[in-house]
Amino acid sequence: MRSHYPLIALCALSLWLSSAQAARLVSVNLCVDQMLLRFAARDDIASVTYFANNPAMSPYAADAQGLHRNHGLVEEIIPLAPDVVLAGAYGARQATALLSQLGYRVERVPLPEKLADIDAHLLRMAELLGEPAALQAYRQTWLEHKKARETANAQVPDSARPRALMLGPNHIAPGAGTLEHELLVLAGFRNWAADQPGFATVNLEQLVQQPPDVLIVDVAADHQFSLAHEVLQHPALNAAIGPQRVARLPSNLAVCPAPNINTLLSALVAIQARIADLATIGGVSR
Amino acid sequence: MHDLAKEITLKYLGLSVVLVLLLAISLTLGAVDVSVWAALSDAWAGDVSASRSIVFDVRLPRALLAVIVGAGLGMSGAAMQGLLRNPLAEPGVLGVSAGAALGAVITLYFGFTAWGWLVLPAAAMVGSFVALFAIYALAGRSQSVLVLILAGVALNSLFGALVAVALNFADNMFALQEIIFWLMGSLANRSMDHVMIALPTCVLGMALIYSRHAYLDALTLGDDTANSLGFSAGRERAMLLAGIALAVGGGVAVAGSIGFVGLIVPHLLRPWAQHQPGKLLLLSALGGALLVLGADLLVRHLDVARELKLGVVTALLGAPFFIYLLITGKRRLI
Repeated sequence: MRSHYPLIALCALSLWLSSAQAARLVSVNLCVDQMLLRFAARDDIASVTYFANNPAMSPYAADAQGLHRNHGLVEEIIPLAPDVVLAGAYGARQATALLSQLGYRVERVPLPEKLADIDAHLLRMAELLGEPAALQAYRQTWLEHKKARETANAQVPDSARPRALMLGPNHIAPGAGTLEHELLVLAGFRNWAADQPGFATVNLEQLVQQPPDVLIVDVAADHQFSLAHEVLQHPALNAAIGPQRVARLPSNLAVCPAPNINTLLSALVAIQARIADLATIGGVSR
Repeated sequence: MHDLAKEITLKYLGLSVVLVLLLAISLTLGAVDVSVWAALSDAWAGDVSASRSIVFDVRLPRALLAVIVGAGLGMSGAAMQGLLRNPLAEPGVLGVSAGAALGAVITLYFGFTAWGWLVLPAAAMVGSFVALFAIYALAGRSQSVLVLILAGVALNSLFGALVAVALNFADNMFALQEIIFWLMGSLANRSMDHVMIALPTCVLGMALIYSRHAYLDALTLGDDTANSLGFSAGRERAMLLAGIALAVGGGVAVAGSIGFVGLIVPHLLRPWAQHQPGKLLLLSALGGALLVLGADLLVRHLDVARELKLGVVTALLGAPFFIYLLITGKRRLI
């Protein structure tokens, strides 16, 4: 048996050498998955979560095809011999604790909870991924886009901005203090749900009585039924808000804001422009 | 005899008056203040308005569904107790509702409803029929409460677990958390589309059950006597089971399973029906409608961020009642 050790050592050495040129990144968080799929070299990605190839949860689902997918289990991750395991700030607590104990490098990447956190998040990801040019350009676009919107918003009085409600599954809407609220404001809206803190259920009767200027709903695929999405098509909503005042946002964009922030902001700005046009043409202001 | 008939009619009238009152209250009260009169005049004039939409698109379907679902559950409970000659029979407790929920979940979450509106109530009916048939096969012969309850526990767990399995395989990521709706029931944000599914199914089921009321009366004298009175046992039972499956299935398909309604209501009203299962049927339908409508009014007005499920309220009322029945009847347990 003893004579086999040099051979094993040689094998291990050659394995290490072959993997040395590519960093082996394992992600146990869907939002980190999306950053990796967008900005990391494909050879560097050793594993993403099993949500990553679900088109309902990620716009980069197609890119995750063919990659190893984990369920956040230590026994799946060890055989991948990762260089770095990337996790969110809170998730996969047991798995990451155990991996750290076993000597693996675990990096926790806090996910943005405010628009102001996005820049730091992008910087941190860039650092972990070896400063990819695409990510730096993406960050630059975001900063410029944000600045341009802030300048544009400063010229419009608050009362002239259309009131928007982002209505998610189960009639849950983002209120004050949420990243989505800030994004609505940045796109030039007033948030209909601004008087409630955090995410809360919107009452259908209140919504019918005081409808917003635009209702932004999640779209899920038709064959993917859920009661949560069924309530978004309640006849009372259709009666209160005309079809041209309903805008759709692909639900997979909003799951993780950071990797999609520029697309999200552009989509919301486009909706804002359309609704502002409606108001001028119809001459109606609510 | 004439006096008795008059007395029963008075009781029907009394329950109906209370039901109409509760209906009026549930159209009037809600999260926002709107005038029902304004809504009515807008509807009359054909105007589109917020108050019209709130009263007719939001509150009315909800109240109607409470009445339909409650009536179906109340009458089914009375029919099951008569058929099984067992005071603890009830669709929710014995897994019949869970069977219906399984049928509904499979059609809704896997896209089969695209085949037509009939698919959902039909599947829910098939699900509840399977559970009902299993209960009848397991416990129909013996009058033992214990056998019935154990069979019910097993079927309820089995169908509940199958609902969880089905939701786990559904594509939509919200599916799994909706198990609470299917096992606890709710009428929140239901629309006229749901009324159109539940109404024909439940009414047909209740008509089928009621058409067999003479057999249920005869059955209190025992199988043999019922047969000697000219009832064909197989045919009568099959029609009753189909009726119960329809009445339960139609309700569960749109509101999830709301337990204990079919247990509490027939028990409270049995003295009014002079302990005749046939007379108890209609009374229980009225009582069930009242109970569910009342419970729904309660959950709508409890000021909590996330609305309490309807089945939670009926279970809070029903479970202690169930235990009370077990204790008072324990000498007859085995």
